[in-house]
Amino acid sequence: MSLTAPLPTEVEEAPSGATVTDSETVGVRRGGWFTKTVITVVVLLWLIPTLGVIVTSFRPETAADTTGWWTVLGHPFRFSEWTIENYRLALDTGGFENAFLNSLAVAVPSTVMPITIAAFAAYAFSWMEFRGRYVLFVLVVGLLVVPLQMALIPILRLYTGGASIGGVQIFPDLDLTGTLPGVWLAHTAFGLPLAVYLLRNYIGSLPSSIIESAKIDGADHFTIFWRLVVPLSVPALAAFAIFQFLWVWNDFLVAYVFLGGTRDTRVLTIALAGLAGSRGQNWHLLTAAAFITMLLPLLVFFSLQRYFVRGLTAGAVKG
Amino acid sequence: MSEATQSTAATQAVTAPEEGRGGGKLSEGARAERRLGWALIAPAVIVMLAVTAYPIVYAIYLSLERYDLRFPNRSKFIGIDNFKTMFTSGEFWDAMLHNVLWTVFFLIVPIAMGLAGAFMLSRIRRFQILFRVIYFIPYILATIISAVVWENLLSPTNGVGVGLSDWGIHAFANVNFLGDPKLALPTVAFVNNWQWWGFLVVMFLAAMTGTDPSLYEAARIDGASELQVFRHITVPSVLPTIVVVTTYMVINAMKVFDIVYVMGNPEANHTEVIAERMIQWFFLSNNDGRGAAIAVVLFLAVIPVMVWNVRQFRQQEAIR
Repeated sequence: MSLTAPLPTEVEEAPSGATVTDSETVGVRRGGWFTKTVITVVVLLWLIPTLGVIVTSFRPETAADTTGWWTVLGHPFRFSEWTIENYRLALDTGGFENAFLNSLAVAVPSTVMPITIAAFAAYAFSWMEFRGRYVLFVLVVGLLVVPLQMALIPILRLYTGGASIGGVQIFPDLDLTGTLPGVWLAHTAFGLPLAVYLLRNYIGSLPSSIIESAKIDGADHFTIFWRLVVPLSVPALAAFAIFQFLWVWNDFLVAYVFLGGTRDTRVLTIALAGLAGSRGQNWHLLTAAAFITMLLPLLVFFSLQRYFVRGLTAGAVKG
Repeated sequence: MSEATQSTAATQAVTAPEEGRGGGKLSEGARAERRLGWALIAPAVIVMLAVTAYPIVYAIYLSLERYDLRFPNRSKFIGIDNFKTMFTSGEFWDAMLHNVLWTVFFLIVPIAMGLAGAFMLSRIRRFQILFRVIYFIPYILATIISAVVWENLLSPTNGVGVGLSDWGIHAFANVNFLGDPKLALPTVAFVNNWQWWGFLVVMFLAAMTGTDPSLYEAARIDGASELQVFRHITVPSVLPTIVVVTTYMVINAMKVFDIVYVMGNPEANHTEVIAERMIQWFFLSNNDGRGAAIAVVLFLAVIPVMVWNVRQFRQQEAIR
């Protein structure tokens, strides 16, 4: 976890020659009690729902059903009111162990694939001169706004029957419905516009002097890409990786349509929705399952968060 | 996977002859550059064509048919009948109205709250990163989790309203936030805003740290109030970020589906939106033609945003 590592964007440089150490003197006034109070209250409000999930997940079924979770806060050390039984039930009987593995099998390739494809494309869009690149860029990124739901049925048809125009097969019948590659491909496509947009913003804002001098030294595009652009673009790659991973991990619709909701194939969100369908009796299991579901995204975010802002805002904040 | 390895191979294949190019003719170099450029972009373009451009064309075609996925052989060309039925149905206009309200809400509330939150957070030193991470947590949670948690918190039988009532605050005791058609849409929007806010704060905060400190210094010397500083220095300096984030929010608001679908009961509580209607018609009523028709309407509504977006790119290009 890198909670304490400052973001590079935050490094404030004191004006040279001045003997200042306090932020007050560089012009940013510290907040008064009002600001601090508001921020603290909002933090509490923002934490309450998540805290409720975590607390409830450790409470026995009867207690969770009859009293609000906040009642525990009055006597946190009464250990008879805590249990890990919910987790055992959720993982075993609830099938969440299997669902966790399914989610992983969906999310990892669905994150790696668009990053790889988009990095190549972003490099070409930013540092290569050729006709048609502007039109292609608009084609790829403009489709960012096409609603995902609109594409579901046509893709299903594409997967099961292929596509043909006037009797000529232009997309083979791969029978991808219900398979992992089918989901990977769908997620890759839905993630690509944003990936290309973000990576092009970042890769395009790399100093051209570096690229030019590498060219003068005789480096070809392949070398420039792997030895210069990729290492320099780690923040943007990490930022998109977080974005896409969170998205795929938390996705319900795509997994449901392309992978289905059976016990063997379902991912975490689908298993969770199944549990939530019978709401009321399952609140204790549901919270345990929810915590299992949010664990990995939290870890991914905490470990990569210092790249997040820098990678996302490169094009927009610039300066 | 396969695309990745393919394009790696393509890169190597195309770059290899280029290495031995030496002092070849300019036109030949330009041609090689172009070939390599297309090769690098090809995987992205092919995937986009198959999974986005093709569905648009397909949806337009489908919207002119009577089509049921279960009986594809019985499909029939019916012209604009699907659109006629749709435009005369109350369901469609309800969904449309809700989408417009939703978009207006997300154009104003989260942006304003995000700016205010980021401005305040930029004023404190201690715990800033901790606060930022906590604000961000709702964005990390799956929508289904947020929905379930908030349904529980807002439940009229054992939610927070009841808890507050135990402490003597009775205002929320008998409010059925999700069951009351008047309250349901604002409630769902509030929960969605809860999910987004931390993300917006983090984005705006990053932009604000890039503001030239001497501007604040000058304003302070002139005796500007905090509010004036915010309005005349902070907001203008983060305007590019505001533009990008607002576009993103508007697009998301127009496409909103999951939170509306999983929270409460969209039909009974009047929270249905366009994308949710589309899924209903597609999957539940097996009325693919009409589902496609509403998809086409959504796509048309999004085109102005797309055009504006493309303009942004062009301007950016010009600056670079």
